[in-house]
Amino acid sequence: MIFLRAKPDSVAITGAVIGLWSLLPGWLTLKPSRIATGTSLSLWDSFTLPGALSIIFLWLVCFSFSFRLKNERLALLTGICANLIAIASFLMAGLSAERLLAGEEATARVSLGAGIWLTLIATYIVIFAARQKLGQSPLWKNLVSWSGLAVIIFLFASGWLNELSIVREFLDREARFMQELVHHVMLVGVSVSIGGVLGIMLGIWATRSGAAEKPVFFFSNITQTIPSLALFGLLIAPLSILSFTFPTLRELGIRGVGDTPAIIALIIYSLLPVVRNTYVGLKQVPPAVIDAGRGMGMSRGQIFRRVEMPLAAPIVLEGVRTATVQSVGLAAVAALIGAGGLGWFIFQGLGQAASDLILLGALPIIILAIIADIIMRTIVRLATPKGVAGETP
Amino acid sequence: MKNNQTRRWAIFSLLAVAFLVLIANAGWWEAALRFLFPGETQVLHPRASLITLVKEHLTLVSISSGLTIIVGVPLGIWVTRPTGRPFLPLVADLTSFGQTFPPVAVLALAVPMFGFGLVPTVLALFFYGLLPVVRNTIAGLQSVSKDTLDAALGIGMSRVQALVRVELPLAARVIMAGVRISVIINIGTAMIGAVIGAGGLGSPIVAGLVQDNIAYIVEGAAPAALLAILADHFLATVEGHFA
Amino acid sequence: MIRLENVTKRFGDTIAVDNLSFEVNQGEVCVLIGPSGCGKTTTLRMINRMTEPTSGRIFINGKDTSTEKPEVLRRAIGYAIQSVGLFPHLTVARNIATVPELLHWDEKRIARRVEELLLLVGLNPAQYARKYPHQLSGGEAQRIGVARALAADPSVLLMDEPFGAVDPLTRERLQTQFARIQQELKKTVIMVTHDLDEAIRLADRIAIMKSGRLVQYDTPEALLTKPANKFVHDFVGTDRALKRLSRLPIMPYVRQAPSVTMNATMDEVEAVCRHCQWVWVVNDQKRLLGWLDRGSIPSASSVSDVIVRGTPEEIAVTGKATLREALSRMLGQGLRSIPVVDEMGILLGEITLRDIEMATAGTDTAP
Repeated sequence: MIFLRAKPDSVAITGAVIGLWSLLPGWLTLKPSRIATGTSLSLWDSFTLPGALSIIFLWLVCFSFSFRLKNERLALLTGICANLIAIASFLMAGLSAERLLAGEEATARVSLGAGIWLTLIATYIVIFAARQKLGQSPLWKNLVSWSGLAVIIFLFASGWLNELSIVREFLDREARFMQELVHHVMLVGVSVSIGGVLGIMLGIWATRSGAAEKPVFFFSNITQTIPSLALFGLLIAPLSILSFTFPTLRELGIRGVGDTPAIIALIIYSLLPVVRNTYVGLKQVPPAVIDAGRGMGMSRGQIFRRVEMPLAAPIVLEGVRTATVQSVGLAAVAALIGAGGLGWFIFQGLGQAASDLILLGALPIIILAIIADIIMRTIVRLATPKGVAGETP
Repeated sequence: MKNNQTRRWAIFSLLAVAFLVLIANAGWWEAALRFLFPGETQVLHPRASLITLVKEHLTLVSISSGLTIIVGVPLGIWVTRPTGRPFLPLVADLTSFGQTFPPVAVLALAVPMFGFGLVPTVLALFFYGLLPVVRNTIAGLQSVSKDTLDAALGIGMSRVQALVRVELPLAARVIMAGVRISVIINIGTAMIGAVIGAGGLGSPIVAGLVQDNIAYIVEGAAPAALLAILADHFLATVEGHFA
Repeated sequence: MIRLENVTKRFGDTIAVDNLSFEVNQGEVCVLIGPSGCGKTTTLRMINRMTEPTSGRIFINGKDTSTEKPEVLRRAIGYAIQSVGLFPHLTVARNIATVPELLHWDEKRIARRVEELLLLVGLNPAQYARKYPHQLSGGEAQRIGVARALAADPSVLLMDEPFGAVDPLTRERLQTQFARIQQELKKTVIMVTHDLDEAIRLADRIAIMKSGRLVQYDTPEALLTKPANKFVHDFVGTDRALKRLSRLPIMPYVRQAPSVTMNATMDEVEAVCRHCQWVWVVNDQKRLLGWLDRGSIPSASSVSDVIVRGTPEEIAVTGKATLREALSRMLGQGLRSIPVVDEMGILLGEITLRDIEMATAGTDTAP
């Protein structure tokens, strides 16, 4: 057979094998209530026979294609196949959930099981392998990368997946979710802005003054090693005392717990990446360029604005990117000390042993971090002057 | 260089001893906390002594970091070898993509999968800690210049010998830096492990937050901060050995 | 013009520049040269106050440089350094436009000036204006550095090893280009170099420095023929005569050349110059075709029998050459005299080895 002649793509095969393996564990879990343990349903019990067969069939197709991913056409087909599996899984999960819940109590829930998660991981791997081979044509590459995701988002938005427990959880608390989402973004936004500006200033100071260099880096390094929860804790004590002694602060909303220590800690954590990158960014401006600028009659300020800043900007912004992504995660921990944000759902879920609630917190936080990363990367790219090769530390 | 290293070890030993002495004397903590928070009836969390908490925390971190190193470094080596090369883009992509995942989210995800307690925490810490170690192992090995490798093979070393005698020593510093990052993140994330029942220095903090007892919070936070700084100093000194 | 008066620069205990005084006239090229650490670069950088003198004063066009703000002073001085220092994030055009922008010229004027300067340094504006520094070769970058220095049309130009960072062939081309530009613009230039040949080629006057002091300040000829002391003598080198030759243009030494056309008779050849060894052969337009040896006349019946063919490119030098090139050609061809032609190959005259000997007589004497 033609399949056996060519060299197989190991990555794709690994993905396909995981995919086939994922057919075995349970795909959906039916539980009588949010917190009770449920019964795991196998693939054919979850999706009924035709559904199950289609998934099995698609995986077999992917598996056989993985043996010969040599040309672009096959890579495209494999990629689309994997996307179909992901779409089908969600589609049928949504439909099956409705079906399974039909005869149950109102408190019953259907959640995604290990099988579906494994299958999704497997599709990611297969899509990754297919993408590699599609390097030449950006159109197909994008189709393979994003079509599945796009359809799933559409399914979610149009309510197909509403019967799944995690979505039910979301719908039950939609208002609160939005509120905490906005709050989370606010926490990150405020602290990265302040921390960014402060960090840049400290970084500039460290480059200009030899005496300042050591203490600035020492301070930022030390603070970065302190565990976030510990730093939150260490800030709570003095803030509580302050807020207790000065009632005006309390009226302003500055208390020992909640947003105040969270924002202060987030600012402190944002410092090191920004300070370090500002320092490196400014130091890597070639001295000859600065000498030329001076010799031409630029004032210190003009050299800084016209030469140093544009050349250092991409590196500095990379530091801000690190700080931003980091802050998304740290803000989640801050929920523990009463700062709200998406972390609230995580800790509520942990407290109630309700896995869907945990997921409702954890997944959006991950997605938020990824979105923040993409946005910041774009900003870095836009800020990179055309003549400069973008090399990031 | 030698002098620098000996000095760093000396500083570390001093700090370590000071830390141990501090931890061992619960009485001092009690006195200090009572002074700071006169209003509280209890200032030290009753579940376990400070020493026990530190031990729990260190156990958590060492097991997960140990596993991370045992799995992560070989994995990084493997993907830079011919047999593992096809997986290099995938692994590189996953490790850099995974870095955007907040550690607390990974920890939280372990619960629906594995439940509560020590095991899920260790697993979550292990997985998340893999990222910097694998990434730095790959980067370190890739930074060895082709010429150096060429020379080694030209002398007559086998690929394994070249790996052990040339590539790994040259990559050691970068790998160690990755281990350092991984451990420090672990120490921090392990604190949150207290929420899912793993113990450690996070438990007094969580208890303090629940019971509105700030003394408990400081009891957990201060030693944790000191422990982290101490560990970082230790790892930085070890890293210095590979310079 | 530029005048340094008792300028001294101290760095802690070290005296980098010691009581230096000299003057550079308007439109002259003054080259500062000397061994490493002699203070030449420090001196240059004091003129535009990149380094401040410890004592002494510097005047540009009669004005004391310390009375102005450094930035204002520098905007009126062109500054070109060895590593060029082009701004990597700006296009070539924006790089050149830097000082005009600082001086708030309007956009149109700047654009015109950029185009003008690119043409001046021999680069096609349409091609180069929008390029980025990393896309340029070493020679191109240095030329743009010079263009940038000239952008605001300063009267004074300071150059620190401006042709240093390129290969010898490009360097020579850049020097030629600079000489041509200087002839056109007549700027007052102070240049630092460590290359004596470059100094001899480009300078109107050379200032030789040692340990922060001015040892000799003279024209290149004077330096070569009358070195002030042993140091200068050794510094200039033992091939002084040859070095001199590269300064001397050929035209003053060109003499009338005996020439005949292809259809000349043997008697005419005989008559054209009684005591000459060679006679040049040209066509009707006086373009050089070759030469013939007078010794071969008796045995010949026509010019075409005895002509030794040679194109102008092969055996002649142009009127723009230096004596050094003429000597080189003579040695290469094994001739004692060579024809001098113009760009079209038309015979202008000839130059002999004897003429060159006379030109350099007395150069190579010990002090």
